[in-house]
Amino acid sequence: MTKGDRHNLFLGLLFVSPWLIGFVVFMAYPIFASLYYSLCHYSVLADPVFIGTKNYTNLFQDSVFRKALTNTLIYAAMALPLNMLVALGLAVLLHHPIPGRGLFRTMFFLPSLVPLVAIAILWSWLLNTEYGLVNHLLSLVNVPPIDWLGSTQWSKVSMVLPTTWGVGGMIVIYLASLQEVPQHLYEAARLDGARFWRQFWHVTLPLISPVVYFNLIMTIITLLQVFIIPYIMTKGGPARSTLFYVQYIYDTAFRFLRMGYASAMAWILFLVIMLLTLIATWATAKRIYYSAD
Amino acid sequence: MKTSESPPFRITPSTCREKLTRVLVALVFCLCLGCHRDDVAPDGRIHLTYWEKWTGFEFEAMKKVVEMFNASQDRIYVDLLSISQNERKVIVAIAGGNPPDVAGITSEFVPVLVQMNALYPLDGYLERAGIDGSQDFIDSYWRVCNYEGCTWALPTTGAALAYHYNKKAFRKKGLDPENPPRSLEELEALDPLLNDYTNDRILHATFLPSEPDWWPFVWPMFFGGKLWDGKRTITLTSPEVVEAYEWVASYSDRLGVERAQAFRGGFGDLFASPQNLFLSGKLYSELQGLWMDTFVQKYSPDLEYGVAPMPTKTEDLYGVSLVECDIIFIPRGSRHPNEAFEFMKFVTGQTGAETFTTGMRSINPRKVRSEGYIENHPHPHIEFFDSLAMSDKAQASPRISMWYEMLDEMKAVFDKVWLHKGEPYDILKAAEVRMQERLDQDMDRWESVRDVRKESWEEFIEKTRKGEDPL
Repeated sequence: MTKGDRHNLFLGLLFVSPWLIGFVVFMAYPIFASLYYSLCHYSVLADPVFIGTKNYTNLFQDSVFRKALTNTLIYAAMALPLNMLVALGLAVLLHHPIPGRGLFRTMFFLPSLVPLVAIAILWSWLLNTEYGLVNHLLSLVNVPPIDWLGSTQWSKVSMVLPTTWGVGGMIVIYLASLQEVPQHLYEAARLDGARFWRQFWHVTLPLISPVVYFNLIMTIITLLQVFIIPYIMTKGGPARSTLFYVQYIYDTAFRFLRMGYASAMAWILFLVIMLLTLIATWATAKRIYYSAD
Repeated sequence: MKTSESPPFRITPSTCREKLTRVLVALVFCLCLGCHRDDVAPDGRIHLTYWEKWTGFEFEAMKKVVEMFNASQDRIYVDLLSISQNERKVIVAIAGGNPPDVAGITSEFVPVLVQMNALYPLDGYLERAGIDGSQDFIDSYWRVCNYEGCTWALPTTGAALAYHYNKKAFRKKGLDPENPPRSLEELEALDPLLNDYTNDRILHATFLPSEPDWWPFVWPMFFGGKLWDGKRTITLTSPEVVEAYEWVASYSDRLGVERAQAFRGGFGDLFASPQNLFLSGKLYSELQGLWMDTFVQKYSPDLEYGVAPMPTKTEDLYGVSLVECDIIFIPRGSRHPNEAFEFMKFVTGQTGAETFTTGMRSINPRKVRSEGYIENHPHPHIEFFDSLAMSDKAQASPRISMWYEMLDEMKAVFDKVWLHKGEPYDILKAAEVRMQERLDQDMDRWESVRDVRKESWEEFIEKTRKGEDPL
């Protein structure tokens, strides 16, 4: 390495140093520190005391931990297919050349710009038992009022609806990929007599499959980390029916001040997300077509 | 392709180094400036940072006291900041090495903060200042400032819960508005007279244990029950506690779970609003704190309401009330604990306490009041609330180190009982097992460090007793 190269390297490192320092201080160090704390009793003000894997063994005996994990998985199982289908369906519709398409695209994208706190408050009112718009619309078809947020049967469904309302980001990604599908493939399919569904199934879906896969993984990660909406709408109630995993981590860390226990929970969540991502990758591997393949 | 010309933006190494050095120096300077806390005011007085949790008119009341203190001083100056969720932020600030010099929270957090070693003991200061808190302050408020044999805080303002009822509605139904129910049996007997509902909705209700849902742990109190024995045993399955939650379940049973939930849910769990169930006249009575009057004046000034002790299971319990108070304390790491205590003395002294509690429309935690204080107090029922707080029957929240966890558990217990998710005994048993495990863990840990902690507290107390710098 010449003197000039060393100089350039120094300058390069210097200019990326804000990011490097930020990464080390705010990402790498906390990640490794949380791994260590997960093996400790740590209450913030006293030094951490190493207790081995006790936090992990205690977690599996903790009924609230199991409840939070189960709630989160049920919620994700409801929201994942719904969000994926709604986003893809809307993207396909918005891809068609209809009058006012730009306006519709904007309308469907707008909710994803609304802050989550505002979405949560808005939906609290939409789902209000007596005065909410949702129950009013249901009453038009003679459906009796539903206690969306106050009953354990409906509370998780109430958490799914606001997330589905905010799928605008996913729609945009789908739209971008739909525009990349070569038109001559549709023409060929039409010549072969394929109608809308066959075109969608045999042309569109295979060609946008990498984007579907991307959205699938990102949605799994996002749903398993749901926090703001249930925290504001129900605070985990009623009877812990909307106590989701990340809220339990938050409560344990910042209200109960059991940082070690919360760190162990965070690592288990990391492993759950990794496992589900691997399963999703494995399950979809043979159905994803990259243009370079 | 190489060119003989230098890029237009190229800078020579020496210029570059000079510029980078300047940038780095400026950066370090800015960082230092950002981390610097100015402890000395322009007039040479010592600056104290005071974090108080209130906003709105309560904050203004404290601001007035702070201004009075600042005006009375030529040595100390207090900067008052409104900080929400103070108890958590103080801990983080202590951990970060930059806590406020003095802070205010509610009293139920004293045990957890003491066990976390987050407070300085005040015993030495009090002794030196000749203050005997047990003589000066109302017993129920003074008790919550003490833990593990030391005094950790001073009470600034007090509150108590009472049965609030709609006099006009009582009168309209032929009931004597000056004689509210004294027993739970009498309270339940009002249901057929006052309740008003259709098949699918409640129009008016006499009483709902779920409104408001802020004290899910309070009901055993009116049956003579306790959530723990004050030592090492959680007592959620004691007969009185089980009976209390069976009583809760009986309400949703009578009213119908769905109807009762819809009745509350219809108003989006609103409190400070004209649509609040009690303020709007839909709920004829409820358990509430003395602050309710402020909201009656603001949102429903025509509401004619009365206050009385919460009805109880037996006559001997009548008068039992949950009392709460705000406290002021010195967080560990405060840079000026001596000056902080000077300020605390002023805030909790006769003038400070009376100014603050008049502004807050709340109970003065001091036993002795100035002439005319009660007569001129803005709360119309202050004498009644005063008597609840001064009563031997006044009870504070359980003084347990894992208060937040207990609170969450009792909220879940209440919800499950209210929504009929099981038998009250089974629900309480499951919660008891869980909380007992947590208490055992906490107590074991605390006992392993208690002696060491006490030694450091003694050292601090000794220094402050002698008037030395404790830091």
